[in-house]
Amino acid sequence: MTSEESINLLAVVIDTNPIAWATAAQDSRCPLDFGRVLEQLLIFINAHLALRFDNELVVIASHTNQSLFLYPPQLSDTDQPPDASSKPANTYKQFFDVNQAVIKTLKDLITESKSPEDVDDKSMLAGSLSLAQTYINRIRRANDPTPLQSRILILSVSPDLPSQYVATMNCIFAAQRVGTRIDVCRFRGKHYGEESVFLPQACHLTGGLYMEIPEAENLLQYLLYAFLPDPYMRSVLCLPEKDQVDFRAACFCHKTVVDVGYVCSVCLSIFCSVSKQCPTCQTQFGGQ
Amino acid sequence: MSHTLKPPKRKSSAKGIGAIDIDDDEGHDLMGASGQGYSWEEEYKRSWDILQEDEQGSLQGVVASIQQQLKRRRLHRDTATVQRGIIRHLYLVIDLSRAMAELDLKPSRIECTMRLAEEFIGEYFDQNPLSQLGIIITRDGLAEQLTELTGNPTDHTSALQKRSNREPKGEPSLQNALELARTSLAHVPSHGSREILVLYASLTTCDPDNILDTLESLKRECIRVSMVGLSAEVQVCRTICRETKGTYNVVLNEMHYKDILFENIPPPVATAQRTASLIQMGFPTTRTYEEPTLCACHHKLIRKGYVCPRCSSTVCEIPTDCPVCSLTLVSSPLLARSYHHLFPVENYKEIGWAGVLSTMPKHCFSCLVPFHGPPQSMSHRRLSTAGNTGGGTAIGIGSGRFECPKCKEQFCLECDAYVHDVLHNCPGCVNR
Amino acid sequence: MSDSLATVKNSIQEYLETLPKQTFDKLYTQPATCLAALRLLPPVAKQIVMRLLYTQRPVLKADVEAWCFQEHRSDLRDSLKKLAKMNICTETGSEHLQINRIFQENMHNALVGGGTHASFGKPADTQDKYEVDIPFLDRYASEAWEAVLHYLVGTPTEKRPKAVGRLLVASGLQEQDGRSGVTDDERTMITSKGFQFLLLDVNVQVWSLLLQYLELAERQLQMDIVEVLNFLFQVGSLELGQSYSIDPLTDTQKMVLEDLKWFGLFYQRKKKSSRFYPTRMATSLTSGSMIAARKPEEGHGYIIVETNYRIYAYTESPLQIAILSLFVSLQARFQNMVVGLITRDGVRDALAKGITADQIITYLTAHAHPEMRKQSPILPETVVDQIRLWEMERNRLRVSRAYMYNDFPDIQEYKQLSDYAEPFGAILWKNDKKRILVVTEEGHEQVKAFKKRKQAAKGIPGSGGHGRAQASPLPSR
Repeated sequence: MTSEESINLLAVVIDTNPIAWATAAQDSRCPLDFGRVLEQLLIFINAHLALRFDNELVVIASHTNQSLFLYPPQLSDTDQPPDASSKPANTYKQFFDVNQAVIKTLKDLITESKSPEDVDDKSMLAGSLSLAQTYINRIRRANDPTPLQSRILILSVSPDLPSQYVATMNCIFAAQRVGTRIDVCRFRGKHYGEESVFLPQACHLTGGLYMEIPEAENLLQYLLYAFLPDPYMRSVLCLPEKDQVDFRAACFCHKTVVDVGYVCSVCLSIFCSVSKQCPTCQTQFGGQ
Repeated sequence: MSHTLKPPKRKSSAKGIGAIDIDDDEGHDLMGASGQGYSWEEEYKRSWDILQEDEQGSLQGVVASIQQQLKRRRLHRDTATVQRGIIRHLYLVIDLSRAMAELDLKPSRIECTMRLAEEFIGEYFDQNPLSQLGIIITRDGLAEQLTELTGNPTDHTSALQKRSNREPKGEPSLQNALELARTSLAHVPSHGSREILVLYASLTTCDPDNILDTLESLKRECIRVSMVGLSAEVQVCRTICRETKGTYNVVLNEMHYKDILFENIPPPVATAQRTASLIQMGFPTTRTYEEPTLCACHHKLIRKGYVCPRCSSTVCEIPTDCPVCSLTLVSSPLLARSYHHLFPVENYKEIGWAGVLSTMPKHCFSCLVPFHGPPQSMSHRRLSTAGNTGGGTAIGIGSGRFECPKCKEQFCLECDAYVHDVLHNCPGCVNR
Repeated sequence: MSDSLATVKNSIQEYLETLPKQTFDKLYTQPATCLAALRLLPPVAKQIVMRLLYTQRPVLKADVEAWCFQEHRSDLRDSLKKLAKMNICTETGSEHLQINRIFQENMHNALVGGGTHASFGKPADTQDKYEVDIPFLDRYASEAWEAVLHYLVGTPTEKRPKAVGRLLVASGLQEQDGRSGVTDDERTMITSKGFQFLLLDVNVQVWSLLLQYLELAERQLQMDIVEVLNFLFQVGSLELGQSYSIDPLTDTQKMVLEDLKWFGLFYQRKKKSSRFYPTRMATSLTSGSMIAARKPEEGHGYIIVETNYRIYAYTESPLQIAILSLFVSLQARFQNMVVGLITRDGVRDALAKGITADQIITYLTAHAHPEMRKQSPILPETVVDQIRLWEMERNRLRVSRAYMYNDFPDIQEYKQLSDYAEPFGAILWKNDKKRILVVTEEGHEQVKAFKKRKQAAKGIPGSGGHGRAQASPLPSR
């Protein structure tokens, strides 16, 4: 069967926007602790690696102004490869490597970006998705002709960035083309993680799973339950589905959702009412 | 009617107007129609001369570099941010004459054409979701319309797969086909682009009238005609394509055929005459029904459909025109599919060996594949010549590093191909 | 090829399933074993285990069944059975499923890296003065394994210690040579099972020997099977090229290390060395191409088979030549090549020793030269078919004991009897014209009883249709 013969690749994109996490930690109703979330995520990653010896993994951090590969670590020349004898005997080597790499790189990332100018309340989601896609492409080509089943898991807490709409949609279409599913685990509270528009669309278009987690204490159980099965197993196990995704567009001038809109034939921007000139591309409209 | 070649212009044409001097022993080079020498007068080119052994007698390096060049060639495309006709109406005209039964393209010209046409249709609708396509075939001196202009790819592929539509016979009629396409395209609203793509294998045409009159009417209606020739270059085709600002290419082999055909998939640059306008479009909501209902377009029973916002009738798939109130129904992802034509990714520049510094990163930015160091077998002289030509014509493996001019990040060859073909986002620029 | 790997996986599972419950509890105290056991399960079972891993209370069986779509429920039930056999997840009385607590706790330890069990191998602290690298280990492993096979085939090599000999005898691959008058009890001869063993794939061979070793350990050597299994699973999670300290190993495990060293699974410079290196064979025991259903790496094929039944083998290894000589008539031997011919006599000799045609064909396919692999099918069909035909020649006759009924007085009686015997397949052969019926031994009793009843009903004393016992040779189809 296809499950036994193909390799599974899991790409995890972690949203490391410090402002969003700080807001979440102070939320009155259900505070989120990044440390706890990270712990449970690492256990989940270990569980994925435990299932089969040949399961592949890549972890990417989506920061405010860059995206970074947490695993596999990008070693610069000055870094030494980790000393093998430092591995304690109680840990399986692969788990140990992954955990060390993720924690170390994440620490470096967070300590580097300290000045306030660097830090905005945004997260480079489209950038991380692009990196994930190119990495998946590389692994797919490296393992040809064995088929590769890939999926991307996004842990997100930041708001959507409208300026990244086009880039995000490009990533989604590229994923659709290759058959990569995008799953989203969104943390939702009173003052953080408001309803996202792009992420449910991403899940719906690629056949992935969108879940909103109300509290972080049971995160591991949610992850193991819903996000661990590989794409073949999804046809066997029933998983919750999101009902209807609203694909209606918002007009560019007022950001209101429109049913019937006017589309400029040159730049494809959507407007709610007729005008003589397109505000985006400045083309004059003549004739009907 | 066949058109003869114009006599070549002589350099020393001080003699009387109209008098054609036939004696050609003056030693001047003859010029062809495009200003360069005729190819039959050149030195006999042996295509295998490109392969030269390197110092150790191995061909591996040369083969690898040729493969790299092939990959790169496909990537150099126009990335200027210009207006493009996103909403396209294209007629695909396929010549089903006797010439199509030739076996020089495997397995036969007609089979190869049909297979590529099906792939073309798939890619076309993938890249241009708002566009429409129609198919016309010509044989026995007549032209018939196989499918009308629709946005549904399955209609076209099923029409192409029918046996009766794949039999070549008789003579083609270029003028009839073009006239038929022109009359059908006359109904297209002015904001959409009007195009005809002709796959022509024959060297002759059997027309009822003067084809240049058709050419005039095509120009008047701003229809763009592109052609792909399967046997040889024909003057009348060249004229039509040039006058209507289309492209004309003749295929060399099956791979080249596919490349040329797929060059027509990205939207063409908009010409000045196109009028831009605001098109009214509807964004339907999806609805699931407990009991199956009939869809308005095909009268099929469906459980899940889209509700037109203006007239509330149910259609089964989008994009489509609502059959009741003829409102174009789309969804925002469909519009988003075309955005990458408007904001294309810059071509990456290859860095030659001479430009590789030791401070540069050792891995590709987006997939972490390590860049290889300079091969030992390359002599110093070869290194410098291979690097500085930018990888276009050098024989020798390049450094494998490709840099984005905007964000200055370096990528490997695979990522370059992937970013430009599939992803349409530069990972470096998106992460700023 | 994947069939043999699947059989390996199945055989490990079957072996594990034969163990008693308490053994499992002891086994699961080591996280490495839990990890290895998890990887052996089918995919649905893995998901179930993962979901139940962090639950505290037992779960309703009906809930678990609802996790799957309707059409895959049977897969789910098979998985639950398997989990019960491996004692990971059992059904408690009230329709609840309970995960084995010990397994759960140690699986947590495995995932988190906690506990003090040192079950994933403690790397050696100090630098090795005589450090070895991976190519050395590979060479060492293949040499050791080949030496074992040589010993099996009987080519004169250096002596192997008793442990190897004992294991080979115990697994039925060799037997004591009673004919020779030599009293030295190391004189052994290869059996037909041994021949078949030689033609198997390396991975399958290693695991079959290991399973034999496990049984031997239990029965004869009085070793604690739990510790041996734990050690084997631990070894499967070690890293190639890294030396490990023998401190955390128990005495039993040190003995296992000693024994298996001779098979090329470990490298230890001296007997008293405090560190050991696992070789590639050891680290791919529970992972790698052993258990996965992927293609094994190619490139070491060396046999070319031609349609004129000639074989060219590009090898110098005496072992491979010896294996080939089992069924190929070798004609010429060069420095790097051996030329042979597949003949009827050669193949029949092999068949007489107990090797099957399938094994020959699998062996030839597995070791086919890369040039041969480019054509499909890999071996020429004529040769393959001919080998199978030679095998079928031995099965021209099939003998079965039967009873013949003849001399029926009329057609009705004959028809009655044959219609009665037909449904339960007792008829081996019948001839309607001559009214002869041949019935199997088992069917004979019933047919006789039926006939007696009929006779009693009709009241005709002892009339026609008497049975005769005969062993009738029937031509096999």
